[in-house]
Amino acid sequence: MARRSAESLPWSLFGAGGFVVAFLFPVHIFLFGLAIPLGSVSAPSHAALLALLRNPLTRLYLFGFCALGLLHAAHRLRFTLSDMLRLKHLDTLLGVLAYGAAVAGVVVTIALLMSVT
Amino acid sequence: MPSAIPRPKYYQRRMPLTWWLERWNYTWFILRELSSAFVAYWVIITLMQIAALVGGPQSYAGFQAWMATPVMMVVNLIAFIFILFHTLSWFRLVPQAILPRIGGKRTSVVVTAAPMYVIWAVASVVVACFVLGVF
Amino acid sequence: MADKITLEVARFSPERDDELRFDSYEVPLHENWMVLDALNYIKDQLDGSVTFRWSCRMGICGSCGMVVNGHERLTCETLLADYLPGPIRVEPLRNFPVVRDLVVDISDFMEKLERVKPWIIRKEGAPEPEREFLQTPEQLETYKQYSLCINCMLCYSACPVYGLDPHFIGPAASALSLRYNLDSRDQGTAQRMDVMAQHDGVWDCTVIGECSVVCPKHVDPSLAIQEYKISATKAWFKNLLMPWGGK
Repeated sequence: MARRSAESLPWSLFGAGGFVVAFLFPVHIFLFGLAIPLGSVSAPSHAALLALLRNPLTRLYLFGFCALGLLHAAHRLRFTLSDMLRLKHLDTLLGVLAYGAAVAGVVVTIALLMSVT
Repeated sequence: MPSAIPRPKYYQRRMPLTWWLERWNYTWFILRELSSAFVAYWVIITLMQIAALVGGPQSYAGFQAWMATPVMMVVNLIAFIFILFHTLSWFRLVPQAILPRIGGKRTSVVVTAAPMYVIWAVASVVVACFVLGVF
Repeated sequence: MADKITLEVARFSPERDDELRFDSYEVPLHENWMVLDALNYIKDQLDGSVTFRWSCRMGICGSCGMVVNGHERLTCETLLADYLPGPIRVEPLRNFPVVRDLVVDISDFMEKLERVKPWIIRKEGAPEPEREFLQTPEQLETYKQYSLCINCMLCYSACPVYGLDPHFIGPAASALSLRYNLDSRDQGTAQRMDVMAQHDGVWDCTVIGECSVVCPKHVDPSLAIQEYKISATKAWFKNLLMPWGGK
């Protein structure tokens, strides 16, 4: 009998990331990408944000935010490119590229968060 | 069984490369999925922001000035719209699949999506309070 | 109201065509006529060579599915008058090989349907029931929606993933497979999961959702596939964490 696919693993990470993106990304983009640069709200100072970043809980939060966001994006981009550009035959290559890039991004995230002193 | 009976040729339509322009729902789907590119974009921005914070006040000021350039404002606006699209479609589709029935009865999308909006609102307020130093 | 409407009917004759071509026919427009009535009028009065499938004329046999003005429809319940002033373009279902005119080869779907075991499975050696199984209204309600599928294949025609990758198990087969998993009399979930959790099973679906839009019975196969992904994932993690636990 053919084996059940291990697709459950990337799919569950995609799903978890989907919730993280849905709940948390809008407020981040709104604040740091629009409201603060536009001056609609008073920008938090470097010192205040760095203090926040020094809190291990903040870094744990940012790790989940970035890692799950990347894994979500990788999974979705793999399927979108394959559907949109009719690349089903390149599925393995697309998977290696997408998840490879995401895992590299996760490693960078960990390194960066560890470098906060 | 070997195909002993000759079969007349069939016509098989091949999906055109622009199949996703054939119907609104297909185009809508592609746009929804492309939100993932903006997810990746925003993670990169966040990592750059962390690096700038670690780099000291001057490098963070540089990051802030860069984010305030018109090009970045436009890109961020587009990203924000795509991410909102993701959020709304996610709330509509995913919770219903997780909880498809209650006591045999199909759950309506309204019932499964409504709590998502509450969680979203609370999470957004909490994050905003931390970022803006209310806490 | 106009008294005539034009149908552009897709034609394909294997002896002479390489592509679909379209023949136009003008038919009388009666208020209660469906697209299928117009096709039967064409076949009886105008051109006996036009070939199409139909049977019950009441939306239950699932034979007369076609693409009407770009959307999958059961032609027996699609009013001509809804397409005024016309013309109405009638094409065979997409993604299936066209045998002739509006008739497609459905053998791929039949093979997939059988593969997902859409019948009640009892465990090997389970005692023969002495009487019929009892089922509460709630237990019936649990699977009823998915049982309404009439195998009309509109969902396969509307599914770009199936069009791109014919190995994909597809919407209707998934919904019918889940229908039996959800049936309180059934014990075959693990067997069906072996089929559905394979690479060509539910994983190709990217939730475009057009299958559920075109379904004339509101089965919602898209939701069925997502349910299947969640069950498959639960089983996969369970097996990963407790490999000794069996299935």
